[in-house]
Amino acid sequence: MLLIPCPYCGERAENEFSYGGEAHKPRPEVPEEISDATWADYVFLQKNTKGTYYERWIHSHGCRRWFNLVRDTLTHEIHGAYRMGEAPPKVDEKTYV
Amino acid sequence: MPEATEPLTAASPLAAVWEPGEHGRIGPQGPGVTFTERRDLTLASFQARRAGVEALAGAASENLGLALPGPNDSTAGDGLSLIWVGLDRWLAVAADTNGPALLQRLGEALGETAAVADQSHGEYVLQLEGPQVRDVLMRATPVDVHPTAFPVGRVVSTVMNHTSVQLWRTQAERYLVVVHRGFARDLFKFLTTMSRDVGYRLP
Repeated sequence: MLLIPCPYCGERAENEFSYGGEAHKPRPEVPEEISDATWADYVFLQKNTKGTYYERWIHSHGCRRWFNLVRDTLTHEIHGAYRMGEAPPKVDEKTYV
Repeated sequence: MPEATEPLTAASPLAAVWEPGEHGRIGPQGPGVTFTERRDLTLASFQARRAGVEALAGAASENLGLALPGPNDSTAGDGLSLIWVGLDRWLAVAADTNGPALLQRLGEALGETAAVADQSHGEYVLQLEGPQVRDVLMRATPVDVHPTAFPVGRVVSTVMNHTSVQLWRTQAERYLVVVHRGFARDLFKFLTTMSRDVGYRLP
């Protein structure tokens, strides 16, 4: 089980949290003017990096706040958590292919 | 509209499953944990309004004589405790059953700085107390309940048996679990199952 450092509550077990997918994914400004393919790309496709990944989590059984997490999707190493709107921590990014 | 024939009376959600006595494996020292229904408490939630948390904190300390607790913490005063449940949300717990009085007290003290709502009907408080209460909690939750990590006064919003609860340590060997009333019976069955090994008493 992951031990996730909620920026508000501190380290808690993974089962208190829910996953929110890729972070820092800009929503198209005017969705009705883009093609279905571009919209589908935004809605359904994620980078899904095998390595360092920036992702959203919500502490749904705790403070009920969304925040961002930097996690290695292969090793499960957690590099840090930061609040919405904050800049991500400097991380030595890795990608395993 | 049908006529009301009988006045409404408060009922425990555990009435059907509460069997007074000692259960499980009772050792020579007696039951490891005692469960108590804390229906003698009144709960109200309050949340900072537009004026912000600082204005609310000022009103609380000036008019209630209580500091607003920070994350995972609580403050206790004369018959009234405040516990942190979220970034700008708290729960007030009064040691009596007079809901309207608590709402009036909070309303007068906090005024326009907070939105206050009675939660006594929706939340249920179960007390676990005894020399082996920590053994029970270690089985029931992944939260670190070691005394160095979980001192008296600490309260965490966490998950127990897939249910959101507030776990609050009020004394060295006494913990309160605040749970939505509809989940109380399920959580009670879960916690008593976790307690069978140390033996438990229902007064």
